[in-house]
Amino acid sequence: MKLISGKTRNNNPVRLAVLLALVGTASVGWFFGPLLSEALAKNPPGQEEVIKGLKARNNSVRGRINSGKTIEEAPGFKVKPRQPSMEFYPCDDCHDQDSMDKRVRILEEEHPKIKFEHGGGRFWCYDACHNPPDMNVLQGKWGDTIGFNESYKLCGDCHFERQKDWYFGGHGKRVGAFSDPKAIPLTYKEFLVKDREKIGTWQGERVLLNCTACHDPHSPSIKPYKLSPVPLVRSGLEKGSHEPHAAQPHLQIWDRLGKKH
Amino acid sequence: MLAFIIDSIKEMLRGGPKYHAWLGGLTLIILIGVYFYGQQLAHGMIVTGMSDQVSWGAYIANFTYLVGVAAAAVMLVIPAYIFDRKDVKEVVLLGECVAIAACIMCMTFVTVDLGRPERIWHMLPLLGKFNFPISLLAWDVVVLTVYLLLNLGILVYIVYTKYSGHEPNKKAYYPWVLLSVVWAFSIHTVTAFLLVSNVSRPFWHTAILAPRFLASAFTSGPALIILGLQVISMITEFKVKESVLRVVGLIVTVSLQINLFFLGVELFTEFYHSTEHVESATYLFMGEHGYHGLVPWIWSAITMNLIALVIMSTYKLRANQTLFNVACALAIVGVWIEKGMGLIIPGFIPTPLGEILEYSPSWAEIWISIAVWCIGFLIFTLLAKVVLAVELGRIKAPGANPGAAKTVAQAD
Amino acid sequence: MADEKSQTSQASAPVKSGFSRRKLLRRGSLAGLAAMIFGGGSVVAKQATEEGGSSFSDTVGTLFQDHYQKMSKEEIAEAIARIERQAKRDYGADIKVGNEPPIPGVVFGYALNVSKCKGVRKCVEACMAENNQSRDPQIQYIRVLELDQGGMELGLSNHYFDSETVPAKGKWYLPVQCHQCENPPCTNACPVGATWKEPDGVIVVDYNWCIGCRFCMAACPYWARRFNWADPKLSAEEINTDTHYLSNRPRYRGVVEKCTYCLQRTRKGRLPACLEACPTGARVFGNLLDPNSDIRYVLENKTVFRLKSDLGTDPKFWYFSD
Repeated sequence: MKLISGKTRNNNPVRLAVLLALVGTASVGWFFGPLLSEALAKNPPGQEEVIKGLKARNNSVRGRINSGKTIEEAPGFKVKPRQPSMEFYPCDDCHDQDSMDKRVRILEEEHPKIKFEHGGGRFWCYDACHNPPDMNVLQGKWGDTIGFNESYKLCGDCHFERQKDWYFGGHGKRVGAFSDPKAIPLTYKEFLVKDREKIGTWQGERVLLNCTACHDPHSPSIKPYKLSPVPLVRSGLEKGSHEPHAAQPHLQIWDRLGKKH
Repeated sequence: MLAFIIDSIKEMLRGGPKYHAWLGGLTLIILIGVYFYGQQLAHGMIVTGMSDQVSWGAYIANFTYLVGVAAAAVMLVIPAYIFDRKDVKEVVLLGECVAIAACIMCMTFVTVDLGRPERIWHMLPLLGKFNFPISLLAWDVVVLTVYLLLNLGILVYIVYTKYSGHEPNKKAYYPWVLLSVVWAFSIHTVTAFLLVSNVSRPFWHTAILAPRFLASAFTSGPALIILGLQVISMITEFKVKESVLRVVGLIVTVSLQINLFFLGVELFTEFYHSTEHVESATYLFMGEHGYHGLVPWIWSAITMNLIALVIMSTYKLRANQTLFNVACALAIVGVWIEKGMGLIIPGFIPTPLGEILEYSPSWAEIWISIAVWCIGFLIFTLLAKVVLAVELGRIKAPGANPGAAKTVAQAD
Repeated sequence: MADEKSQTSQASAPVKSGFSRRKLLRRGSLAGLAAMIFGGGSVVAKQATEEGGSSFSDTVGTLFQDHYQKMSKEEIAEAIARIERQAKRDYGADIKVGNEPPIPGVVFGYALNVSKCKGVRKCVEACMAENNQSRDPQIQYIRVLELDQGGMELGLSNHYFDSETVPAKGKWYLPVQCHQCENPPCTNACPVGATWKEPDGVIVVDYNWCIGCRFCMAACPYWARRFNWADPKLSAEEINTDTHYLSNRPRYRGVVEKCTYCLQRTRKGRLPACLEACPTGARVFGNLLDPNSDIRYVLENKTVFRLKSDLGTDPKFWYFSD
C-alpha cells in the first residue's frame, strides 16, 4: 500500500499475524467451545446434591442394617419434646449476636452448672453444636439448624452408629412410667405403678426419649449408680459367710502366670 | 377271706410285752412326726431347711434310698423262685414284706415333700391331669404303684392260700413273681431317670447314674434284709437258715464291689480334667470356695463301704458272724449317706447360676423322716407278724389241716 | 368259730397282770392311729378353710377346681371371682384378675445389653412391686450376677455384691430371669401339667393346680423358678391390683412361681416392669414375629448370645453387646 510519505511498506507480516490470530481463535473456539458451552449450560451440583450423593454411598456400604433398611426406613416414631423441660430456654433471652464470646474458658458466671466433658478437647461450644446466629437452635454439620426437640439429629452427626441403634430400637428407652432415668426409685416400695396408662408400650405408637434424657449433652458419659439392696436367702436360713469373690478378686491369667498356683 | 382278715388283725395286735413296747415306741415316734407334719401343714415348708437353692432335701434323699430297698427285696425272689433254692423260699415272703413297707415309705416321703398335699388328686388321669409319659415323676408314680400292688397281690395270695391250708398254685403266682423281678429293676431305674433327666444338673446328668443306683440298692437292701432276718430269728420261733444269710451276703458282696468300681469310674471321669460341670462333685469330695459341709460325710461313707467290702470279700473275715453283721450295717449306713447326702444334695450345690447355699435338715424334717421310717418298720412288723404266724401254722383257716400250713423250716 | 376262739385264746394265754397292760397298749396304738388320721385331717381342713377365709363354698370350690386349660369360660370366671374375694379377705385389697388371651401373631422375645447393664438391680425391685411377690420370705424373680471381666464362669459369680456404686471395677453384670424357653425342661418335668407354654411363648403356672413337688425347680437350668415356702406376706398398700390369672395375681404357700414377662402388661401391649425400671435402657422387648420390632433389630444386627445354649433349651432371652 502506498503511504502518504510516498514510501512503500510490505503488508505480508501483518496479514500473517491477523491470519494466525484468526486461526488460533478458531482452534481455541473449536476445541474449547463445546466444553465451555456445556459448562455454561448446566449449574454446578449444589450442596444438597453433593450431600445426598455422599449419603447414598454411606447407605450402600455401612449405613444399611442387616435387613437392608436405611435410617430413613426405620419404623416411625415420635420423640418426647425436650424444650419444655429446659431450664434456660429460650436462649436468646441472654444470648444475642453481639455478646458472642468464642474464647475457650471455664463458664463460671454464665452457666455454672455446665461441666463440659464432651469431646476430649476437640471442640468448643460454637464449633460443633451451638449456633451463634440463633442460639434457640443447634447447628448441624452442614450448618443446618436443628431444634432442641430434635436434638437427636445433632448427636447422630458424630454418633451415627449409636443413632442407627436408636432409630431401630436397639438403644435408648421409650416413654413410660419412669421416663426420667435420674428419678427411677431404688426399692420396691416406690416402684408400684398405680396409673396403668403411664406404662410404656411395645405395640402401637413408638414414643422415644431423646438422647438427652439419659445423657447430659455437656457431660454425656453415664455416671456410676447407687445399688438396690442385696437379695435375701430364705428366711430362717443363713447365707454362709464365705464370699471369696468380694474379698479376693479372681486373678486373671496374666496375673497368675509366673506365680505358683 | 373275712376270717383271714380278722385273724390277721388279731395276730397283728397279739404279742408279748416286748412286742407291744416295740409297737408303742414306733407309734410314739410316729405321733411326734405327725405333730411336726402338722407344723409343716400349718406354716408351710418353711419349717424345713430347704430353700430355692436346695429345693429337695431329706425327704427326697430318703425316698431315693428307700426305692432302692424296695427294689432289692427282689433279690430274695431270684434265688428263691428262679434258682429254686428251698431255703431262700422260706424267707421270700419276708422280702415281699420289706418291699411293701419300703414302697409305702417311699410314697409317704413323696407326699410329705409336697407343698400342697391336698392337691394330690391332680395326678389322677381323668379327674386331674396326669402328665404321662413325658414327666418322669408321673412314671415314678406308675411304677411304684404297680410294684406295690404286685407285691401286695403276691403276698396276700400266697399267705392266704397257706392260711387256707393249700399249697399256692405256682402257675398262678409265678408269672407275677417274674414280673416283679423285672419291675424291681424298673422302679429304681425310673427313679434314677428322675434325676438323670435334669440337664440342668450336670452332677446327675450322667449315664452311669442308673447303674450306680442299682448297684447301691443291691448293696444296702439285702444287707438290711440280712440284719432283719437275724432279728426275726432271735425274737421269734421262725429260724432263718445260715445258707440264706450266706447267699444274700454274696449278693451284698458282689454289689459292693460293683458299687465301688462305679464310684471309681465317676471319680476318674469327673476329676481327670475338671470342668465347670463337676463343681458339684468338687463340693462333695473336697469342698468348694470355703464350703465343705458334706466332705466328712461322703468320706465316711466311702470308708464304711470300703471296710464293708474288705470284710465281705475276705472269706476269713466274713465267716465271723459279728464282722459279717458289722459289714452289713456299714454297708447300709454307707449307702444311705452316699445316696442321700452324697447324691441328692450335691445336685443342688452349686445352683445352675453358680451360687452355693448349704443345706442341713431342720428338726421338723428330721423328726418327720424318722417318723416315716417308723411307719415302714411298723408296717413291716405287722405284715411279718401275719406272715410268720401263717408260716408257723399259728393262724389258719377254720377247718384247715393244721399240718399243711407248716413249712419245711419247722422240720429241722 | 368256737374252736378257733378257744385256740386263739389258748395261744394268747393271758397272764392276769399282763392283760391290762397289753390291752392298754393295744388300745393306745389304736387311739394313736385314730389321732393321726383325725389330727392330720383336721389340720388339713383348717389350712384349707384358712386359705378360703370364712367362706366355705370358696374353699370347696378352690379345692376341686379344674386345670386352667380344661376349665370352661364360666368356670374360669368363677375361679377369678373366688380369687378376688380371697384377696380381699387375705390382704384387704380390691384386686382385678384379668384373663387376657395371648395376642394372635405375637411371640415375645427379650434381649439384654450386657454392655449397658451396670448391676443396679432396679429391675429386681420393680418386678417385686409389679408382680406381688412375697416380701417375707422374699421372692425375687430376677437374679443379677456380678462376673469378673474376662470370662463367664457362673461358678465364680457373686450374687450378693454390694459395692458403694456400680459398676464395680473389673466386673460386668448378667441379670437372669426365666428365659421362656421354646424347649423347656420344666414343662416336661411337671407330673400334673401345672406349667405349660402359652401360644405367645410364655411359660405359665396355674397356681391352683401346682402340687408343690418342686421337680420343675430341679429341672430349670437357669434357676428361674421360686417356691412359696410360707404364706406370701404383702401389705394392702403394696399390692398391684392389676393382675392376670396366670401371672401376678396373689399366690399361695406351697406353689411354684416365676417371671411371666409381665403378662398382665404385655398382653395389653405394654412393657414389662423390669424394662421400664432399667435406668440404662439395657433391656429390649417385643414381638419376635414382627420384623420391624426392636427385638428383631437387636437379634439381627447385634452380637447376640444365649445362656447355656448347649443344653438345647432354645431360650427366648438373649444377651447382646454394643
